[in-house]
Amino acid sequence: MPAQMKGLSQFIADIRNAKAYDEERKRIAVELDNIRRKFQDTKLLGYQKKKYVAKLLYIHILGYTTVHDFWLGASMDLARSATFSEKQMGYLSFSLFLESSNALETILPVLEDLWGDNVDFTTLALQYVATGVADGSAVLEAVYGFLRSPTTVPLVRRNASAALLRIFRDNPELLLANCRSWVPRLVAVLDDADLGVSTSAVSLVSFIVEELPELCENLLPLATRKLSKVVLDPSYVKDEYLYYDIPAPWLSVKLLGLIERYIQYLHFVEGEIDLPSLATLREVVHQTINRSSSPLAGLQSKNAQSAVLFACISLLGYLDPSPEALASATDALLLLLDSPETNTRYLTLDALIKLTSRGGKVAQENTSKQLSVILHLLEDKDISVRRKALDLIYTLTSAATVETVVEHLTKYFHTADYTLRPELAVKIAVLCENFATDAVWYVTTMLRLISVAGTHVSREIWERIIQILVNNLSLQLLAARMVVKYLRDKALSETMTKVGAFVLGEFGHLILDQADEDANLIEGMTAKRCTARVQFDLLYHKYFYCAPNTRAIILSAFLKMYKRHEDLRPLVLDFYELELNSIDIEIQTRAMEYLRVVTLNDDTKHLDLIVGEMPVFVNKVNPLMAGVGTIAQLNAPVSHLRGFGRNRSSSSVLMSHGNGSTGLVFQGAGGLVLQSSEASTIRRPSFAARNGSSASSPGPEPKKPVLSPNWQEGYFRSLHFDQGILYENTLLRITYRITKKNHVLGFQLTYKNKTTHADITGLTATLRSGTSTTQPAYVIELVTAPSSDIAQSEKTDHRFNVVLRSTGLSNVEQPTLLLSFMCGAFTSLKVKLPVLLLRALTAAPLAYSNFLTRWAQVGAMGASGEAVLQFKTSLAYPTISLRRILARMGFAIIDETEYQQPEDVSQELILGTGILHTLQGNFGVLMFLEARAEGREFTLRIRCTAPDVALILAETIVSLLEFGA
Amino acid sequence: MCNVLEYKDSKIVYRRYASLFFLAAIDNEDNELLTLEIVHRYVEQMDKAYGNVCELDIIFNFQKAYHILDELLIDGQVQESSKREVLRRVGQADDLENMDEFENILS
Repeated sequence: MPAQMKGLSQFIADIRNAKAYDEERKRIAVELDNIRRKFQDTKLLGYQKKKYVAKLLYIHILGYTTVHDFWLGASMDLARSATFSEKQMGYLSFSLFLESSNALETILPVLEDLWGDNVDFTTLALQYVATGVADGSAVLEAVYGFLRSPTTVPLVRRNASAALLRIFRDNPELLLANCRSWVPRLVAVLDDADLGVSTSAVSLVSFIVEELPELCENLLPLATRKLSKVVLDPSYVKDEYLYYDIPAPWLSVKLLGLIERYIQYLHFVEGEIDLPSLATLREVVHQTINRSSSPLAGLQSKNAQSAVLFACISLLGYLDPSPEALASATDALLLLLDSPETNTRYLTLDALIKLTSRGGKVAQENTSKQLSVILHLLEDKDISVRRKALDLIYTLTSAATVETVVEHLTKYFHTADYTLRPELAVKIAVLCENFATDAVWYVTTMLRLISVAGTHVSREIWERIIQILVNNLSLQLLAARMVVKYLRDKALSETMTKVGAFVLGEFGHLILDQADEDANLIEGMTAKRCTARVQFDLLYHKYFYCAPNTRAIILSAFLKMYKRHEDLRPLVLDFYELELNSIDIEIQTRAMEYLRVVTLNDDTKHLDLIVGEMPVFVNKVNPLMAGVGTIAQLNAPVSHLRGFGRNRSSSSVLMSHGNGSTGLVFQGAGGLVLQSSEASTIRRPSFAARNGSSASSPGPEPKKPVLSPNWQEGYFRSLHFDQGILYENTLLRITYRITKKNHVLGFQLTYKNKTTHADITGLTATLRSGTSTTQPAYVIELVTAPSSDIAQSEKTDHRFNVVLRSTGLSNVEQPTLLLSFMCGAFTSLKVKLPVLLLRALTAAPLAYSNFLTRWAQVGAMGASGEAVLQFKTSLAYPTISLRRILARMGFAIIDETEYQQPEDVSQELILGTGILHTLQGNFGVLMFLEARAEGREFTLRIRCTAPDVALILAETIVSLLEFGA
Repeated sequence: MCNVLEYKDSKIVYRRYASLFFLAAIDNEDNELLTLEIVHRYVEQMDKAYGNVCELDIIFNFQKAYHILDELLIDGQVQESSKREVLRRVGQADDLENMDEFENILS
């Protein structure tokens, strides 16, 4: 270890020895003074500057963050020093002292170091840029250059990736400006052979996926392949990247997170995961779950293993998991629930929440089997675990289990932590509302909740109950009766009194005739019936024990009673008179106002106006949802799915407001269903919001890919030849072979590494369908995916079938093939594939006489069956080659001896027939080509038995002849 | 005790080594267990770099602790999980410093 800076050590020791705060402060003041004086000396050595800046840093770390201005010059000198440790101190001081607003000039040493040839200095500069203090946009190109160049050492690439991430985060517009060419290259860095670079790049790519997911087409195959190598191939990860026994856990978890996020995007745009990736991902998840049951020694290994497991299980929900896969995932998690490790229990619960909310019924039912274990975790010794257990219970509960769960939770209330109680109350309320199938049960449970939870019940809960009571006539009588029972309890919470006052005021008249069973048990109560007087007394007795806001509610309740019951009027008037002297201004005002209202006139005109029947609540927002706590923060697809689930389960309880209503109804104001689906639309902002904006803004449009230069030659060749070269550049040759089998076109593409000096690595081939997703004219089925690595002069095959589903395939819907790979540098290619109606044509020989008959028949179909195009070509086509081209396209050419050629010798007629195969059916095609001017001018007539097809076919033929066949 | 606390929109992950507490504030979607292990890795690497690290080492040589952290984590993102690579970098820095000092003495 290098020698210490003695002055610094002494200073630190002094401060540590300080007995009191004042002493420490004095020492620091002296030192600051000293440093200030020293810095005035222009002949200060680098070492001294370093020492003094280090002292300043130490003072800063201690919490004396007052900004001094005299250090910057010295730090600048340090950052530009040629000595590593001085430079390091310089950059460190920038990053700790400076705010980005005044870091302008600090970019100067960064520029020098980035362009210099000292790798260590470059690294320091990049790390400093990555702190985000200096404005990195000035060095954007240089940083990107490091990452892009294959000759940069891994160390620099790794730091460049971090710096680039920071620059993009601070200036997202820079990413947008450079996205087209940069993004695919940056994504390709994921597959870097150096795992450190790869790890760093995942963070960068994760950011890009949030911003521009549509440009990350090569992401899924690359990330998946990297992941499977790390997780499944025991020899791939070198020892130094093993964390205890687990291969590169950070890389794995970050990759899993990235893949999950990208799949969310794919779901959002209704794209699909390509099959090889899906299979690989399932394998990774499967293996990880299997391994989790094997015991590992050591906390570190277990933690790392569990971390990967949780990330895998989180992803599983997005992989269309089979019921068996879900079951085995939940089982693996349930096993971990009784782990002695608190962290593991906590995270297992967290993983179960994600899995059950995404995995639907199977996961939910499977987890519910262990409901008792989970309920037991509410008693866990750790608060975080208890909280998570509650969240899980909330997501697990269904109509079948609601009664057990609510019963348990209500009992649990007394022992629950104070901090947990408000959330607990809200969750019980929401569960009751969502899953109640029985009105009596609902009212009983909710009132019990209020009586148990008392002051922990937030305003939203009891207000919500009142909303529901007001909106559901059938519940009112019951509620009123129960409230009377609760009000008899002397030790009643104020919340209950509030609800009681409201309910009796509104619905008390409904129970006047009801026998009052408990009346004789209570001292001072003799009435056998629940008369208005009894109700008045109940509230009156509570009144003086209550806080002003509850009193106010009772005052209002009395006004309602006053209106309905004449016999109470003197009592109420006396009461109001009394409260005119209340010390609370609100109560006094209310008493005064109410008194005036009832005594203003003899009639009750004003009173009727003011105390009318409570109108139905129409507010669509359920105030409870805000209080559901962490659950509401679960990400978008979750709440989306849950919205669907709840929708169904609660529809049985929904009914309209009305007198004649029978059965069970909570026409709650709005209700949870609406709310949660609203939440889901709000919760998906990062993709949705941008999707909306990119439609209007001139941002990148993913629909129209820019094809690689010189794509046409291979493409037009493939329109009539069944095999040949589709594309070729200096590195790679793509050859194709197409086989027709009815409506299925079999494609075999062969990728050949043309170089003799470099291997191709990280090859991804993505087929992007150009047809509509809702009614695709064709479907691509992958047969074999190409391998990712091609050695020198070697090749790999890529096979897939294209099924033509309908004749509605226009000439702009061809699929594009996107290839990206590393061969020295990153390369990407985009070419069109010949998936056109014309390619589904096969020859069907016909005699000339029959041709004429059919021609006339199809002609009777009208305009939709025929296309006539006149065109000229620069190239002259001799008749013989025209015949060959047309024959290769799939026409059976009628022998020219069967018919008379026109008398004008400059004209040639070519007639052909064929059958068009689609899944929709087969159709006859007749072709009539008239060539003039030595094969430079043409009239092409096509007739087809399917409507609107003739023009499509004709255009394809014309485009080929115009390009030059 | 659970080493994770939910705090506002973040999570606090902490770990205690003797009398030292290491705290990390992470986003909700970040992985808690791995954060714990990052802390562990950091401590391991300080242990190697300082040689049986204790609190005083970190205090008296705080710039080195920053350097190790910068190699491991930048801007909240794991940079390099390889034990050897981080130590190599830090060791290199020490060598460079020694070398610079040597040159200073000679000049």
